[in-house]
Amino acid sequence: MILDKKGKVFGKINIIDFCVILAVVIAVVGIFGRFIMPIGTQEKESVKNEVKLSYVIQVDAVRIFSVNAFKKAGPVMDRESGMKIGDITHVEELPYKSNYMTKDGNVVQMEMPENYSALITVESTGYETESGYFVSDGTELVLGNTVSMVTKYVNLGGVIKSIEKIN
Amino acid sequence: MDKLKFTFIDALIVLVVIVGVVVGVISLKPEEKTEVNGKAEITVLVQDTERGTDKLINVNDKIQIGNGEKVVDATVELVEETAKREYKFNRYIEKFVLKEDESKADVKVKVSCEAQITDTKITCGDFDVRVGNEMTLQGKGFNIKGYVVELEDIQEED
Repeated sequence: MILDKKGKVFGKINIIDFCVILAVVIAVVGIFGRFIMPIGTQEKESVKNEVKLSYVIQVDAVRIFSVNAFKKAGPVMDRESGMKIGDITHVEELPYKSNYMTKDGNVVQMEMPENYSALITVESTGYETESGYFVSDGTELVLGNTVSMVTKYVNLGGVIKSIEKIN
Repeated sequence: MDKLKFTFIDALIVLVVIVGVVVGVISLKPEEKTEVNGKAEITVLVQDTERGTDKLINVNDKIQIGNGEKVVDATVELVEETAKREYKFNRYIEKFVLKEDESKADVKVKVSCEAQITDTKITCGDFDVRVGNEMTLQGKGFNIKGYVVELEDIQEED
């Protein structure tokens, strides 16, 4: 019997005392998960090294006013979670090129007037594990992934074009 | 009366209560923000709208701006109307050609409104304003929709 007639678990410990010990264990596990291993849900590796990351997000087919809004720099947040994913350190605009079909059915790449590709360099502290690079909020940086981002001034998404460790 | 004993279990209970209170305070503590009151100057580009829209919107008019769900009062600072312009790819000459349509208009409206400003956002009323966001403009005789194309924040002096 787990619980005897005196209300003791395994005949040794009072049921109330047992509940208290159980609560302490749950609290310790919860605190560890919440505060000590904040990116534990997204990261499979137990070994993680804090690193400084620099990554470039390309935003295509934007007008110059959007480029100028990115040039005001500042922190970048994930649009959904609102968590900071880095700070803008550099913004470069290139003519936006896209494919168009000619009268002969050929596809030509043309610069679209008044449209730009903005290359936004973002720096962030994060973690490197055996499986990848993560920014501090737990978001994994993967080449080609779409980032839904907002800054103080602008709300536009882009695609990760490069990732670099800078320390 | 028996002397009260303070056992190991009592210590654990006290510990659990203290930890619970600390975790609760940390979790419920509002995010620290250095929010200041100020003004936002927002330029909205309304494309492909009716000619003569600028006649209905006058500088210093009090209008309402919104994000589709919520609205807030704003003051018109500037209105500019031009013929609708659009680049189209001409597959025969393999070039982009600018087409202007005099029967339709592109209207730029600059408005100002009271705003709460932090390092990460500019809030007018109950909604955040950013370049790229859709914005409605409502006033006497017009209810139009465009996109925020410029945004400036002016913080109040102490």
